[in-house]
Amino acid sequence: MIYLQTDYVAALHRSQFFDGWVLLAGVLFLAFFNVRKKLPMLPLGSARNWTRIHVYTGYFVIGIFLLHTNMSLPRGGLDIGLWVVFVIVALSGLVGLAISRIMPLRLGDARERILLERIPGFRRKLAEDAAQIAEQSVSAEKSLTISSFYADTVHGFMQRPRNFWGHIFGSRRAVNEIEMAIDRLERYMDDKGTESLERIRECVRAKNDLDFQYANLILLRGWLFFHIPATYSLILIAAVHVLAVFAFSSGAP
Amino acid sequence: MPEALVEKVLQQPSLAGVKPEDFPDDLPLRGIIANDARFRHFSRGDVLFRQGDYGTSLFILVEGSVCGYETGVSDPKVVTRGRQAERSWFGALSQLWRNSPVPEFRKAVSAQQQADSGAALADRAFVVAPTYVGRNRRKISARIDEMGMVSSPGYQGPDRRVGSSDMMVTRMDNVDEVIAQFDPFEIKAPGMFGEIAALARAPRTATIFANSDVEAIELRWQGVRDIRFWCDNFRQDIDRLYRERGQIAHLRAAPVFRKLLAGIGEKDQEKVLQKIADVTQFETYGGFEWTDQFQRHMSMADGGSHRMIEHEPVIAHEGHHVEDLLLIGRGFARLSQAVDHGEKTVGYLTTNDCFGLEEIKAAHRGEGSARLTHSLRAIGYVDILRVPVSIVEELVLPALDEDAGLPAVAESFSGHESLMDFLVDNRIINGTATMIIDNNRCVNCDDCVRACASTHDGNPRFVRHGNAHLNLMVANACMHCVDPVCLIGCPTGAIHLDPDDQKKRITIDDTTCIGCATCAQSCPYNNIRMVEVRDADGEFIVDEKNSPIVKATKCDLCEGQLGGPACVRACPHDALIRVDMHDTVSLLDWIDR
Repeated sequence: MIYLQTDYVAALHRSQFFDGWVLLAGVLFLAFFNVRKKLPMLPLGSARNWTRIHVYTGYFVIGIFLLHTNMSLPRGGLDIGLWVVFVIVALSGLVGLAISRIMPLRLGDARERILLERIPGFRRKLAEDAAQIAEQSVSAEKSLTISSFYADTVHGFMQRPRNFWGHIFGSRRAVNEIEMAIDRLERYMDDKGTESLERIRECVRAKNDLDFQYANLILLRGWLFFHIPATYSLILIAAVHVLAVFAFSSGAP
Repeated sequence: MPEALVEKVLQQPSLAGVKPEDFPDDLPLRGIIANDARFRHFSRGDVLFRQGDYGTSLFILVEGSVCGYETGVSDPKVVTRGRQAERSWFGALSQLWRNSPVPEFRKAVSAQQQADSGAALADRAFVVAPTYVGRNRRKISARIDEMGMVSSPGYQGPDRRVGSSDMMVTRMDNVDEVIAQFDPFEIKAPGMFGEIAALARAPRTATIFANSDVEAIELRWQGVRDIRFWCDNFRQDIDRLYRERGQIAHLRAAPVFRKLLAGIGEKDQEKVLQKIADVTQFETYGGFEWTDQFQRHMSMADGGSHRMIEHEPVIAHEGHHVEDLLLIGRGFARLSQAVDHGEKTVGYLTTNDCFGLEEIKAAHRGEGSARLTHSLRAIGYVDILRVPVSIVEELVLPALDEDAGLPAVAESFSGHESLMDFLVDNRIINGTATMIIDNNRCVNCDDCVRACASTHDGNPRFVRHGNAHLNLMVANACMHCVDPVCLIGCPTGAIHLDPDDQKKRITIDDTTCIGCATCAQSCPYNNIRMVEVRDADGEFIVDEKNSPIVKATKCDLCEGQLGGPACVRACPHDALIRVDMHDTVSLLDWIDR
């Protein structure tokens, strides 16, 4: 690459034209991976190989980008915009790569793998189960202690995904707080009450497991919502950048 | 079947040696006949069954004669369903805009349209659903007389009962041409045929058609097995036929005899194989109904699969003296070794694998005690060919190299013992294209599901979910089983094995599927789904009773698509594989990659 660029410069061309075109070609090639994904019916090679090439080309393109920008911040609104979008694409790609390697292993900690689409259904079922246990405890215990505890502490936890970032960063604080509250309450309970609380604890743990999977699965898919739109933005801004360069280059080669 | 017909069946020369007194009170001979036999009538050219059909019944000719031939790969003259032609690049790409936005869309043809274009549609096959018809299909009605006998030409799967009014037939219009081209063999009354499928639950090895008006008794495999079990004469007759027609082929296909047969002429091969066949005993273990037991265990709250071994009949005990070389004719067998009070699964054997050879070799060389080092259990049902040690020592051992590379008795799963238990207990070993997903790599992107939908008119044919062992998940995708129990009982033969023997691809011919759900209920892995089909407006297509028409759907390994299964090609993280479970080397290589 450097050899080619030296030749290009030796021919009295500006090197930034050369690495600029290489950069654009690289970005377009990287973007074509998404097109390949949309054409599974054509024998265009396995996505596994495409991924490998995509990653290595991505590293290469980052290197060319640094060369193209002389490792300095740009000036002018268009170039700053282009620079920022490229950085977003590159960083989201690198983060996505790391997520794709780490998160599947982390999901192995879950009790059972559950499809993302099925999580809301399971969550609803667990919330209903927990509510039912609390409701039954009123007549069984002749006391509102468990149901009040449920309403104050557990109900909100069971209703929707919780502790998203805690799960991403490995914190169990939210569920530990509820479990400690259950522990505290158990000292006031007879056997039946303890049994009810233990069943609620099981629901809480299962819900926490669902939240753990939900957070990790959302992140596994979510990074692409930055990476892909930013890539298309990058291509558009790059096209404007190319037009601007040629429009204002005053006949430079 | 009415008593008069039962009597007529028992008067057939083929069943002359079968005595009612040989049967127990709770399983009387007449009861077996009434339940499992029926009279069938065919006209010249009617196809009784086709090569590759998964038939499970024996035919006994009462009158007339049939012809049969083996065609190898599909021949358009005689095979009415072929493989879907591979798409062109443009054809493949056009799925992008041709895929229907309506789920499970099918082109519906009204009865009137069908009648109007009947001449063009009429060909060799059939469809029952009255408002839907595909290419080359026609409906033929049958007449059933007061005795309940089907007296018009009719092909029907073994599970349909006399009394059904929609008997179907496949008929050849070119009988003389076929006879001239294929030089078929002929079987005349009172001959029997179909015993290989009935005994071994194997695909039919030949296409059989009526060469005249034919009256025949069709006996379901359950009946064949019951009568064979209780009646020595019938067993000898059936086994003789099986030995003549099927056993030699089995022996020839076994790798253990390959070296022996190499380098000698075909006639000498026949002589050698006949010598082995003459002393080889055929045995069966377990039951064909293993799927019911399996599903019962799998539905238990604790999974129940680990208890399966307790119900598996022992074929050979570890520590016992080796008396025969056991050749697996069909089915699966579990290899295990005793550990304290339980059994550890160390491997499994399937068709053409042998058991006991290492021990025989060691004993022959004077290096071992000729005691079995493993136990062998029938997983589901197993056909066993017992070849006596004496004949192995006389013929097989001298032809073997000292370190002959024969298939190992126990596939090496060192370091993966629990995986072996999982695969065997859950019958995953049945698959030839099992979809395994490595959860340590899968990022849940669903690219595999989307790719499947893109290549199947917008409808994914598998569910990315299933039983898991550690990080390995066996997804709910058709495994294209070695023992495809889904094929049994399909009344129209819509679900079938690929006519190309090289592949074990099992596909469903959508135009002949009548939505009876027999295959879906038979599949032990719940990998076949019944779907209600819709027209272009998204409305359900209904029959004359206003019931939605349903079709069986499943993975077809992207038949006709370019480049093989789209799910595998679409996985960006190498997390998905379709693997033949008998190819343990590839599986372990992939796991350890």
